[in-house]
Amino acid sequence: MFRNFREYEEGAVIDTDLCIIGAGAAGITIAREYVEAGREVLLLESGDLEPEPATLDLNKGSSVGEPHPPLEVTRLRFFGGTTNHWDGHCRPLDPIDFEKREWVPHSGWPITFADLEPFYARAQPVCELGPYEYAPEDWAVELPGLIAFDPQRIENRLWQFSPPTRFGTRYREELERAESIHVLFNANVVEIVVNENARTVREVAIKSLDGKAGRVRPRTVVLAGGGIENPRILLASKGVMSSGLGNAHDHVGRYFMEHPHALIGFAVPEVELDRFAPYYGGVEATIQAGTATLRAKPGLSEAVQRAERLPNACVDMGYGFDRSTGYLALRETGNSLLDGRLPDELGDAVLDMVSDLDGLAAGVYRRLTDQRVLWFGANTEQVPNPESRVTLAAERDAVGVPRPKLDWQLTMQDKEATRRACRMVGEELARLGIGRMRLDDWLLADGDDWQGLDVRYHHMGTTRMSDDPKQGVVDADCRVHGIDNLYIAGSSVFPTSGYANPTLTIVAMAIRLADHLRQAKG
Amino acid sequence: MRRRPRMKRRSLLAAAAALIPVASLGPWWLHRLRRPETLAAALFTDAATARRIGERYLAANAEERNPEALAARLPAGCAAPARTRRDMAAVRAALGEQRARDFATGDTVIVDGWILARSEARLCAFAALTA
Repeated sequence: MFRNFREYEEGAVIDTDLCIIGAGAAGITIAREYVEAGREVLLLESGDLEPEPATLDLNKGSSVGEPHPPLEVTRLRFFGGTTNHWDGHCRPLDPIDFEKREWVPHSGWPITFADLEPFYARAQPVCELGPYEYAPEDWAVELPGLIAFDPQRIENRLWQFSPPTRFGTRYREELERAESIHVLFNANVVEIVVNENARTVREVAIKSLDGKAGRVRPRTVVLAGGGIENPRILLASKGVMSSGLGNAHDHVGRYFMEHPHALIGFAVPEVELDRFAPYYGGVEATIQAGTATLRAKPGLSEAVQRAERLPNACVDMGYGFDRSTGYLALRETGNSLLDGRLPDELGDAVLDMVSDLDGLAAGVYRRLTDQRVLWFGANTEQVPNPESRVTLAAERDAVGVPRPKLDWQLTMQDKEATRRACRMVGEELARLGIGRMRLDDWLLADGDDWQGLDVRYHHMGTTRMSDDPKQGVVDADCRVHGIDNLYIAGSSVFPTSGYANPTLTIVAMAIRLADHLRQAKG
Repeated sequence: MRRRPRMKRRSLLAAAAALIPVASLGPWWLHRLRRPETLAAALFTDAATARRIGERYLAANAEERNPEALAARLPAGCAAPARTRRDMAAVRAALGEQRARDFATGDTVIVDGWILARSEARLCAFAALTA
């Protein structure tokens, strides 16, 4: 059932068995697992069914570390959450991602890949994917032309593509019809209130943008607001614990990880470009339920990660004529004109063209002569770093919650691992006689600077999982250490990030958590 | 006055002989990129560019600035003039095998951003030293 908190009376009190904070991939998945459970579930959504500027404004925050897009751009606040701009890349983490690796500081999950695997299989249909098969041999018929890399060094990693599933749209009807599931829109959590000894959540304080306050009294709470919002709410909930909830050992908000991405170079193919199609374009495969889109990327083998003490990594491929500033400006301008409009920033575009005539000329030449090259992008596991963190700013948002301040920090190890992984892929392409790679100057330069650093909107690690309360925020069941009835869902619990896009793992972990809650709490 | 090395002529021939097979090993890919700042894009398409790559390699590996020592490290036949087509084919095969071994074992160098097999870079260096 759908309800609107704006229509409640001031000071409303809502009792429920399970309160889920956040209706994104994790929150909606957990709610769906309760449709037949016969328990009262309250799913709190800050926004509404459609985006509203005032609500999206609540996502604003500051960024003081590595360049990062505005926080309100990388996250969404309406039903379905950030799945509303998800591009659908799905792949499980690798088994090695769960291991404690001496060469990856702060690595190691308290659960194994095998523990999570049954839930990955259940997550596949939730994300509207094909069968739970990610080994190249599983798709040998559909993908016969994968490059035969030396498996001791480079392996083909497969992705499946979700349509992508917009969780708010796809599961709206199911949740709207479910009598025991109550989706409450326009309900912004301002604090999770615990009892005096801080061992139990007593209530969740909510507020609408028009100033109406209310309280939820739950038996159990799942915080599923995302990798920035989860620590933000915990840190802001300082009514009893001055350092916030789950933060006795100062881990909440730390270990923020993204998937740092940057173009690292290009390669001139020595074979027809089509040979790389499974890597840059994806291949449609027929499956029982329709079609599955698959894409491959070359990634570091487990063997070479262990031998060279490297974090996990793979490499993206694309293709084009040129990516110089001048040529890209010309291309964007041309596309705009073809669409019958002037570019948004024509002056900047002209300046880019004039200041990079050489690049512009090279791109035009290749375009006219139809000479494409392959681009490569880093897709690297970021090493967990306690100095990379989310804290609270002094400024507060419209409902009175301190805004988040992101200090994203990469280390030299991240850049070195990227450089090594890319070089290894380049060596393999050359060994096989199918392409010659040139690495960009920034990647080879000393220092930890990244050029053109971009992110994937994957916010991870800020409420990390550990069996040891001194090393993490939640335990292996995703329960906040020291608090009996507070759980966290989403990628904020990931102790390490791997290189795989996190949504499939978020959904798998959410199903696992729902199973646990149903069994433990009834 | 410093004497010109006696091996000058022979080395030039050797370098030319060596470069030709490499050009055929790395077929047409470098012809396709004509960007001034990527010198290596033209590697092996002409001897002058190969020598420039060689100079850059030697700048980073000064201890290898010795044609005799470099020649000894190249696959058999590379430092000798190719007299027949059969010689040429043998050199080409030897270079190809060495190049593949270098890439397989990660014995590579980066020159101007390009990932080269060590043997390729040494070939360029040899060409640079014996020009």
